[in-house]
Amino acid sequence: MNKISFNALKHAYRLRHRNLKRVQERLPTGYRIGPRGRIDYLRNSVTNLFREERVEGTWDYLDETRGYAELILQQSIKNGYDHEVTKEMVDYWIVEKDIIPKLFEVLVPRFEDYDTAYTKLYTLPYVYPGGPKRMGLLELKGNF
Amino acid sequence: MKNLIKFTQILNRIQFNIDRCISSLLFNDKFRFAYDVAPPVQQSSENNQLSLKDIVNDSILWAVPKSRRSVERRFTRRMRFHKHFEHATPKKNITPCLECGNWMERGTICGHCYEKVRDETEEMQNKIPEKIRNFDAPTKEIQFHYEDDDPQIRKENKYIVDMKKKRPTWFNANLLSKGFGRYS
Repeated sequence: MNKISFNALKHAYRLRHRNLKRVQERLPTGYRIGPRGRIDYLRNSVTNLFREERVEGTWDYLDETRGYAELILQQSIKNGYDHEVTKEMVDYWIVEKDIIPKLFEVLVPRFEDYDTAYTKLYTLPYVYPGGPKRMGLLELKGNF
Repeated sequence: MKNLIKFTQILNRIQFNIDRCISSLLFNDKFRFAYDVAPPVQQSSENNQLSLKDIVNDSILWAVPKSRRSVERRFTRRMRFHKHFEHATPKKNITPCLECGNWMERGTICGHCYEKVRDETEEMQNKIPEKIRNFDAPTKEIQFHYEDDDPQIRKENKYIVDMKKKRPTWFNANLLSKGFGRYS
């Protein structure tokens, strides 16, 4: 069967990015605030996902990382390592550089034949009394 | 903002001139009043002079309702869902987990089942030496080998971690084989 290559992401995503307003408060090492701070936070989140393959956290922040993680995987599966644009993108988004070989040698062969998304985002149970924040669990498929 | 400053300046000037006139009348050498009472003590500058801060805080009314709230709006605020009844409505999305039987909310993961999974993954990840796990990720697929497993499943092209315990019943060895469908 012929493979149809899509450029779109394969899971539900929002039309607009979320402003992560509390990013600077989260760590004492201090991310920058604003759009640049948001991307700094998401970069670290994505590398953490690729390293641990399962991440717990706030559902909304994980939803943001999911988009970027899936995009990087999709581009690296489609183009491979010898493509300039993917190289730049991967170099920027993966902060800890020992995961780049892991990406191309472990994750790409694992996800090559997938028609569906490569990650799954669950919601963790609500702890009484609850509040506006819900916790989520982001996982790469096939991580056993 | 400029108008406010001008306003205060004008007020200050007026007040100053009035004070000057009165004090000149009272304390002039030509006109002497006979009175037994002591001359008026100079009041503190705070009471005489109007600062911008005083005007802004006391004299100008900022947030003020523009019109009377109708009965409908009052009732919706007090008697309806928002800020009152969100916690008072019953939860109808509680179901028993099919695996363990504990209660869980539909749309979420069962907490009891996930606790087991979380503890097991912590153990598994702690078996990997810290330097490799945090700083030097292996470039092969990681395989966790339990005591019960077939020794033939151990393959050379994988990074094998020996778990020195029996395989938990919920973590079946059949999961390791690739399925035939699109969700493999």
